[in-house]
Amino acid sequence: MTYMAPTAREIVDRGTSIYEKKYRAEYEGKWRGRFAAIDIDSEKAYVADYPEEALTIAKATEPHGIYYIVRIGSSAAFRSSRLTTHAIRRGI
Amino acid sequence: MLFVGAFDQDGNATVRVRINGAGGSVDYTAIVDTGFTGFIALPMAEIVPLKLTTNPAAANIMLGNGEIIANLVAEATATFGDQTKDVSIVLDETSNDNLVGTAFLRAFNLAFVFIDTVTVLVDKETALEIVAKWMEAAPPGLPNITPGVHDE
Repeated sequence: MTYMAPTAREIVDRGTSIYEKKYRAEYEGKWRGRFAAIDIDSEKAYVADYPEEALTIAKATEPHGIYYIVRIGSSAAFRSSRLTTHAIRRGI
Repeated sequence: MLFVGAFDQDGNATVRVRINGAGGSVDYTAIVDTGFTGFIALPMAEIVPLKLTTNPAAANIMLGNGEIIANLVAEATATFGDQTKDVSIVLDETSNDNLVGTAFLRAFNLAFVFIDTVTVLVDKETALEIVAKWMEAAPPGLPNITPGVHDE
């Protein structure tokens, strides 16, 4: 049996759903601007000031987790001034 | 401490940064992109030489036109000067550019100086010294002017 790693889009969609359902209301009231790494399997979330810190904490607990990174209170974890829609067309 | 960068053929300010993955270390010339809030972005193909984690993470990225795309994010360490830090690497399938963003400047405590003929990264202490000196000479309440050169 072959293991198919989830795509970025699948991780983001699953992570967003978990965030909306379990964490958004609480986190946006007290941790706006910080970062959360959400394990898309266990649905546990790990919060830190920066994304690399959140991932380090998360992977110390669950090294094999697959994580969705969210900036609390923002629709995107990162911003880039570069313009490209190529990734969207390819369904990444 | 000053870290001297260079301009690429398109006029972008670039610096050299070392990324350390399970497959070893690779030195990259990366564009300093202050419009990118992440740490570093590399083309997806770099996952191979660096042997980046096969248990990835992913995040949304908002582009300059407001569109949001999903990108894989890998973990590694980056070495700049004599410091090494944990980093989140955005793996970009849409570009061959290597970018360092504002998270890179923040983590390594660097100020970015971009002039027509030279680009440098300056450590925080040196940068604050320069700014403090400028502020002492600046007229109060008048931003964006050269100290001592303003209309009466």
